Amino acid sequence: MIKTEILIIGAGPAGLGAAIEAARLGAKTLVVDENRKAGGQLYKQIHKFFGSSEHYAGVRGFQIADKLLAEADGLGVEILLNTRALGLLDDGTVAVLADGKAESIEADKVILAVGAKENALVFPGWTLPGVMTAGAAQTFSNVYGILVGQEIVMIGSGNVGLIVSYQLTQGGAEVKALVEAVPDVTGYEVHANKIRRAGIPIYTSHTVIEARGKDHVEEAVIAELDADFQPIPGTEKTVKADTILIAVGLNPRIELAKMFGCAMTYEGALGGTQPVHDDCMRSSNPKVYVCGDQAGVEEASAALEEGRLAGIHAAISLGKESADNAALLNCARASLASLRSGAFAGKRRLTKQRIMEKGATYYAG
Amino acid sequence: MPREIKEHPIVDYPEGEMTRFRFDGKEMEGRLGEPIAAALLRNGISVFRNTEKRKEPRSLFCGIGQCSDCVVVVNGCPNTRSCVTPLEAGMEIETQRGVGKVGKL
Amino acid sequence: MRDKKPGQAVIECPQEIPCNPCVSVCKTGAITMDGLTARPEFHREKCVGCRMCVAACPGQAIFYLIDDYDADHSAITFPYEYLPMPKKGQIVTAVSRRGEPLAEAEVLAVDETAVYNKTRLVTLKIPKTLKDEIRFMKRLTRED
Repeated sequence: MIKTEILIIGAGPAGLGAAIEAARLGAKTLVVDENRKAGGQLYKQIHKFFGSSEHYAGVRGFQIADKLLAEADGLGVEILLNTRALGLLDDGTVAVLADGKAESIEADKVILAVGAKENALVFPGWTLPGVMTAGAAQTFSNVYGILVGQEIVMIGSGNVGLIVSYQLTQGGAEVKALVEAVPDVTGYEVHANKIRRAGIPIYTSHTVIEARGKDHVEEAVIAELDADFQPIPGTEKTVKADTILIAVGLNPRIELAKMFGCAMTYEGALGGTQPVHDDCMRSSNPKVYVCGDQAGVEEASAALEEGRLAGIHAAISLGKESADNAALLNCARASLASLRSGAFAGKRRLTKQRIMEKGATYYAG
Repeated sequence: MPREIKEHPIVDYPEGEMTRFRFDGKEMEGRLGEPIAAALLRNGISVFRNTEKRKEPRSLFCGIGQCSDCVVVVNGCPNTRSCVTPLEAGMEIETQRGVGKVGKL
Repeated sequence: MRDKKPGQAVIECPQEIPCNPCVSVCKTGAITMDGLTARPEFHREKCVGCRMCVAACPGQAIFYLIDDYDADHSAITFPYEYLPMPKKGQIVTAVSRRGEPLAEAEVLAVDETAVYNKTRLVTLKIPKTLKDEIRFMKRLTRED
């Protein structure tokens, strides 16, 4: 059995943020990640990040991953890769598969930072080779140097759909069309403008209604949607394509949080069912913190800041002292709040507020 | 169709050594340590398995080891997720037919 | 490339999102923002034409425009992150914000430097009449 003070599950931006802050306050910190490489989704991001300089604005995602890992390493954080958390054992320890070997980990606090998974979209032909999630195409292009296809139809105009369309064009593919079911582009306008100027057509109020091909996608049929999101007969267009990518939203990975008995809530704006948390990132289970996309899908900067907040509070709750605990927490909350300011983030901000109010009820009185 | 990206405006792909493996008996080359799925796609292979009932072709879908659509048989072991399993020298990889067989049934 | 011809940063940043590298990278204070999510403001009198903002903007939403490059032409600099790169002197197709071809244009400069972090800056000589329309160029293929 491995013993530690703070166990962090997930070495993406949230997990690394938590590890850095917890270790800085002197907590014995162990991070586990099921992948063979740390950094979560950061190391697949090759575009420059937004935010402010404290949020690594202007730095490319994979460069941020390198910086965070170096910082964690410098603080003595141990990261076990190829180590998958399987669940909670009766004695309260966390069961993991470490390089294929079963292990259990005992910790005083557990920070869950396992992220989210991509949603699927079902339409006739969706199981054909060549239909996959946008994230899969992104990983293979940006990390492994393999372009999954040459002629792409992208479904979804959120930031993932827009950014991956741009990145695959950088990789040499031709994005024939991006379709979005609702009447407006849902991601950042600047991301949409980048692909528009590259000649990629964006069809709002459209979706893919069929993928055709024998052993592989050969063409995509797109159609316009009415106000009830039903395909309008007669508007079908056939687009020659060998790849159809699905970018229709992310969904928090809540399995571990459920095993820990964390209370859940449904918030469609942030991806679906997720664990409630207070403004210190505590779930309804005082031993367990949640942060990052698993606690509501936002983006990498927010994940990093939520992780920092969770790491600080977890360490403080174990008696680790800083010069001024209250100031440290407020500073972390302010940094997080600044990422949710502005008109464009209104819905996200209000949703998070509602979640935190629910989380607070478990610690009231 | 899938292919290797030779030059990228932003990414400097790591220089990995190439290694030999076999897919359905055919000799191929891939980068040591890359996911098996990448090695197959690099060689233009896009059908990784066929489903049990209707023998439909399947391939990479989530790319993150969660959906199990991309499984292949590796060194006789079926249900190996090709998107997260690293390529090793001399691997025997086969198209998985249905749910696969382990040992003698 | 730094010349002394008067020009201006054209900032096409339409939404209030938390982002300010344009402010931090501008050494003369020609770009200011009233808070992290406010839209950036450009102060032309302070701009020295260094074009750092064009490279730094993560949204690739800043362009540098010299209205009067000569009697009939303007010059526009935009960020470019594709291969193959255009070359100085090459004639390329200048396009609109929607990627529609508008004119053939000469490449005046292609700037690449470490501090740009892999974003290259391409400057085109364009018809003055199209200075408010042209914002990019048609990507090149290997054969071009």
